[in-house]
Amino acid sequence: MGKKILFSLLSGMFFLFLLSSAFAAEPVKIGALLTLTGPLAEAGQEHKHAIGLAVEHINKKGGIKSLGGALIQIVYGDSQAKTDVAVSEVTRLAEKEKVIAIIDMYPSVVTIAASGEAEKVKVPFYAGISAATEITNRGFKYIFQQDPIVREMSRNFVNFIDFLGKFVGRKLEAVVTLGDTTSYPATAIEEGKKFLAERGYKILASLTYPINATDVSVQIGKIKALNPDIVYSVGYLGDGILIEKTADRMGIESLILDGSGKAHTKWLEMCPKNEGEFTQNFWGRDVSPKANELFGEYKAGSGKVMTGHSALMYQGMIVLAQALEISRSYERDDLRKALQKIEILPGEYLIMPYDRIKFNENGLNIGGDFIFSQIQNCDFVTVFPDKFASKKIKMTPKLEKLKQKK
Amino acid sequence: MILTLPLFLQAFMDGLIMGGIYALVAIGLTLIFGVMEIVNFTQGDFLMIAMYTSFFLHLLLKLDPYLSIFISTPLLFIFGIIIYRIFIRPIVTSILNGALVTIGLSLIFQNSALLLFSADYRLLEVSYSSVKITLGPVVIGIQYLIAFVICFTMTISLYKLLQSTRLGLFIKAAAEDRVAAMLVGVNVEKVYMYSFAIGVASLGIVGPLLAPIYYTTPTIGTLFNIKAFVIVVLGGMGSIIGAMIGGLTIGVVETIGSVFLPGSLSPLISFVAFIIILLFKPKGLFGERQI
Repeated sequence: MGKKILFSLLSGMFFLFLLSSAFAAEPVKIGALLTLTGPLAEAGQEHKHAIGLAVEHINKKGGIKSLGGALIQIVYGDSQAKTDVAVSEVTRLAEKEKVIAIIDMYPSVVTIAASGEAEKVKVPFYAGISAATEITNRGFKYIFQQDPIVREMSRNFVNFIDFLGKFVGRKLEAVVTLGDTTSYPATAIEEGKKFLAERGYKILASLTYPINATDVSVQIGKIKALNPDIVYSVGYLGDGILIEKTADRMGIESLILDGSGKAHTKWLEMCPKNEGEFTQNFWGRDVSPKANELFGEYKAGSGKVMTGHSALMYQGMIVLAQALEISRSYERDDLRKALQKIEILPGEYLIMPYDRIKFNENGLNIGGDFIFSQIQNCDFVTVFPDKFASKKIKMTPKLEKLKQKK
Repeated sequence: MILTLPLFLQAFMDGLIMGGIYALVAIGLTLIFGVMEIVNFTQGDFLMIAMYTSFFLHLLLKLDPYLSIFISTPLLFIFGIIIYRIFIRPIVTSILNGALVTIGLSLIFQNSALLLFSADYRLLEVSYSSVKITLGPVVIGIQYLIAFVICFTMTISLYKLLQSTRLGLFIKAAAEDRVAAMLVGVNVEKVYMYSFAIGVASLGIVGPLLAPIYYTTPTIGTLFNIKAFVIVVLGGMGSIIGAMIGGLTIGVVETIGSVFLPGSLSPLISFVAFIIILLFKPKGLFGERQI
């Protein structure tokens, strides 16, 4: 009798196990299109970690509850920072891997091409970082852009120049712009020039360099000759390092402000040479206690410092997860509609220094903003805007010279 | 247009210096092609390996990059011999096969570096990086000046090696007529091997010179590869002197061109100059295969 009861119990348990396995929610597959190899591979690997961390957090909290606790599963694609490869990866992720959505990083030129393909194959495409205006002004329905467009980045940049002028106690006047001619830097500079002109700044020259330049000495030489108050520089990390080294070699007195290309921990390795320098940034560990907590967790897991770009990718995954909760569906169109409706306010799900995340009719997030960081004691410190600043601007010899300049 | 004499002089000097550096990268390429008709697409990747060698020697042993030349050069020489014996020897003098094999090797090198070292930008900071020399209105970074002097000296030394030594004589013989060289007792097989190794070892000199000036990543070599190919064709495929003059020409054309035109057009400027020169001298400035 005892053996019969035991046998029944064990059979029942086994049956329940089979039943629960049969009814376990199917994972939700999301594609992540990153630059895992090629010239932007370092950033791609960091963003991969950020996405992994977000998925870990989401799945640990029970996955997508409205889908029966479905866990998120990431399928990675490698764009190699090439438009043709990105397009074929979108096709593969959408048609072979059957992902419900794709999240992507940068560069903008790759995002533009990849999102065009996503629109064609009707898969929601979440541009996590790219800021080019063209991404969401093509009348597409499946594309969502988290980072504010380049125009807002440029507006914030010129706002900071105004702020800097107040700090040094005089109106800064002369500006030289510097960047390569790819989509993001070129657009940022063009938009920036409009704001500069509106606010009475004199643009002494607009200098460019080729992509993957090996030498920018002529451009820096021109800057030296013109001696502007500010150099409005927009580019990527490699260019930023080359510009910094060349400017140091040639003894440039102008303040070089960087439009997010140096918003990277690699730039901190040049400290103390670049102590006191500024860069536009997407995020800082000091913008909120939650940001600081995330920063610590990211570093503990990867051994690396979390950049603003990685924070954007983390945020993107959180937004997609919340949209899945709202959609209650594995269908792409339902997710697309949920993304069109979603509004994420400051709180548990917003780690970026934004007022909110909400997409307009074109898929562009209308609540985003930027910050400016200064390197203080070899770390990024948020100094602008005031609502997110953790410290005041630190006076440096260059800022002193700017103050005294007539 | 911002055109001042100091800017022009600065651009000219910077162009000469960069051109001298490009020239040494190109010389290895032209030597290998001149002797065994192999278009070596891995040239930039050997440069990358040399830069990583210098970076890690500095990181782990605090060895100054200029001293690491004495380690990276023989290391790359030996590595060149190994690569030649395994991959190049079976296909030597076949231009198509040589291109295919070296393209494949290039992919292997870059992705191996990515796997071993990650895509991290490696910065080699030295205490004297801000030291500069001022010659009137022209400012020259000491690292750039040293790089130019060493590259120029090594280029001349390589030329002298080929003109004045027994090995040089054998290399020239094998380059001119492989069969005839064999008939007169030249060990052509060894000549090819040493030529390849010398071509690769030259990057063991350039790598440590560039490591503190640029950043090191698995794909850094590709930035210099394209320029090296342009210089080799411009100077005359197989001409050492041609590669040197070609390098200086490209360096100066790029920087002077950037003074007058937007900097983003500098590759265009050098390619236009390249095409114009080839229209008048189709075999390059110094003709073909004049090792």
